[in-house]
Amino acid sequence: MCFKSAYACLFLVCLSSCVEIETYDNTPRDNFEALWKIMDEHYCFFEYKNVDWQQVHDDYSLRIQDKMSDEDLFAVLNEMLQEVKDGHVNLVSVFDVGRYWKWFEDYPANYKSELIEQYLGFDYRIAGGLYYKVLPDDSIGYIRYSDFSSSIGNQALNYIFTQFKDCPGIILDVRNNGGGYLSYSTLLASRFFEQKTRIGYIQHKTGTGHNDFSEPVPQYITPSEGVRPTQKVVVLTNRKCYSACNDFINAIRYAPKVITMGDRSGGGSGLPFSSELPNGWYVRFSACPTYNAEMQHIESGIEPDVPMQLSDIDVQNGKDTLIEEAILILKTE
Amino acid sequence: MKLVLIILTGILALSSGRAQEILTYRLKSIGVGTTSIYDSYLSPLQYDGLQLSFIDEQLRATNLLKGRVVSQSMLNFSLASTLNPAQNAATYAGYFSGVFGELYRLPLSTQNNMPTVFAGVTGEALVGILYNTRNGNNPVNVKLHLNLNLSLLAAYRFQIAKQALQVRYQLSAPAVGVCFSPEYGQAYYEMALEESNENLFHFASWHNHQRWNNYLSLELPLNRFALFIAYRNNYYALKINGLQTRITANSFFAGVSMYLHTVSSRTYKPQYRYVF
Repeated sequence: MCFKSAYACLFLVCLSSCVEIETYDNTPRDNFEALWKIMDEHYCFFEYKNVDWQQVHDDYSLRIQDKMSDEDLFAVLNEMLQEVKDGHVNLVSVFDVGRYWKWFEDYPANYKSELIEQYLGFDYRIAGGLYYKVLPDDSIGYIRYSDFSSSIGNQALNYIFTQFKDCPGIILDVRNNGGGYLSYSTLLASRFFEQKTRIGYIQHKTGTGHNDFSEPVPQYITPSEGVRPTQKVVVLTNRKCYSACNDFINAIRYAPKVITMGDRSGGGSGLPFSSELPNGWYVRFSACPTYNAEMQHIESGIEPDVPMQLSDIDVQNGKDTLIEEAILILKTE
Repeated sequence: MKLVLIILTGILALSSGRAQEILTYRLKSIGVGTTSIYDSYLSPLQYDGLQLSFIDEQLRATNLLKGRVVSQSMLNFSLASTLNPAQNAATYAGYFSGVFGELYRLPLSTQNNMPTVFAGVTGEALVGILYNTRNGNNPVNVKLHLNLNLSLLAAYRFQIAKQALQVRYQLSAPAVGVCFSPEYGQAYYEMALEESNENLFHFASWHNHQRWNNYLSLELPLNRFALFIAYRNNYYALKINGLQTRITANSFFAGVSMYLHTVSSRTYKPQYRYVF
C-alpha cells in the first residue's frame, strides 16, 4: 500500500513536468487564435493603453472565415494588431508588412533632408553611421545620426569630439531616427555624462497575465572613458525618433549639459520580442516595458526641453529652423 | 621526467603487492538522426530537422568493491538544424555534455548466460544553445544543467556463426540538479543590466525537468577493435517560469571501440576484452 502511494506520488510529480504543446493547424481560424494568444500572453502595454483584448478577440473572431484568402486574413489580423496602437507591433508576410505608423504620420515632419544638405554640404565626414562637420559660419560642431542600426565606434567618437574641442557647442541631430540597437544608444549617450546616472527602468513579464510584471530593474549610463565633449549640446528631435532613439532621448535628458529641442519623440519604449504563426507569418510585439528615471511610461514619446517646429518661411529660405535656433542657443550661452 | 614517472609508478605498483592492471574501453562514434525542438521562449511552434552527434566514451574497470565498480565518462557534442512547419524560419541548436560517474555491477550478473547489469550514479554538466534566426530580441535560449543522473547499463555477449557479438543498453535520467532559465518574458539584454540575477538558477528534478537517454548498441569484435552501431533516443523536457522546452532526438551511430589493457602503466596492444 505504501509502495503504491509512493508510485502514485512519483507519477504525479513526473506528470507536473510534462510539456504540453498546443498544436495549431494552418487554417485562418487557428492562425487568428495563435496570434491573439501570442499577444494576450506576451504583449506588455494592455493596461497602459487601456485595451480590452478579450473584447478585441470577440469582435475580430466574427470576421474570420474558413475559406478566406491570405490577403483577407492578413488584413483582418493586421487591423486587430493596430488596436494596440504600437509601432513595435508588426505582422510580416511574404506580400506585406503590417504596421502602425500613426505616431509620426499624424504629425508635422519637422525635418527636410534637402535642408540638412544646406548645412552639411558635400565636404562632411562620415564615421560609421555618423555624418559630421564643423559648420563654417558659426564653428558649431554638427553631427547627423539617422539610424541606430548604423555602427558607432569608440575610436570614431574620440576623433569627432577631438575635432569639435574648440567649438562653442555641438548639435546632435537624431531627427527621423527610427531606432536600432540599444547598445549604440548607450554608447553614444555615455559621452555626455560625467557620473554614473540612473536613466530609467526595465521590466519583463513573469507570467501570462496582463499585469504579471517583474520588479523594475534600474538602467544606468556610465560615463565613457573616451573623449567627452565639455561644451553645451543641443539634441534635435522629431516625431520620427522612435524605439532606440526614444531610449537615447530619454537617457540624454539626464546629461548635465544637454538640451533637447524640436518635437515630441515618437515613443516605442517596449523592447520588442518576436514570434510566429502556423502559416509562417512573423509577428513582433512590445514585450518588456521601459520607463524613465521617474518610473513614468515613455511609450508615447518624450517632450523636448525646447519645443520647436520647422517654419515654412525658413524652409522657403533654405533654413532649418531647429538648427538655426540650436546655433543661436549655443552661441548665446 | 618521464623516467621519474615510470619509476614512481613502478614503486606504487610494487607497494600494492602486485602489478596495477587496468582495462579501459574507448569508444568514438558519429551519429545522425532526426530531432524536434519546441521552446516556448523562441516560438509557439515545434521545429523539426536533423541532428549530427559525436560521442567519446570511456569505461574503465576499477578495483573498488572487489572489482565490481566501473567508472564511466562520456563526452557528447550535438548540432541540430531545424525548420518551422512553414519551412521559412530556422532554429539551430548546439549541445555539449560531459558525464562522469561510477557504475556498480549487480550480483545477478555473476550467473552464467545472464546479461551483465550495472547501476550507478553519474554527474553531468550540460551546456546548450538554441538560436532562432528570425527572432529580434529573443533569438537565443541557453540551457545549462548540472545534474546527478541515475544510470542503468546492461551488456550481453553472444555468438552467431562463431562470431562474437555484444549488445548493450543504457538508460540514464537526471534525478536532481540545478538548471538555468530566464523568466517568462525576460530578455537576455535585461539580464546583462542586472547586477544580481538570483532568479535565473533553479533546483531541477522530476517535477520540472525530465530527460531520458536510451542507448542501444551492437558491437562486432574484430582482432584489435570492434565495429560499433547504435540507436539513441533522447527526450528532454523543462518546465520553469511558465516556459516550456521539449527536445526529442532519434539518432543512429556508427563508430569504433577499442579495449586497452594497461599493466603497471604500460599499455599493451589493443585486444578485444570485456570491461563489463
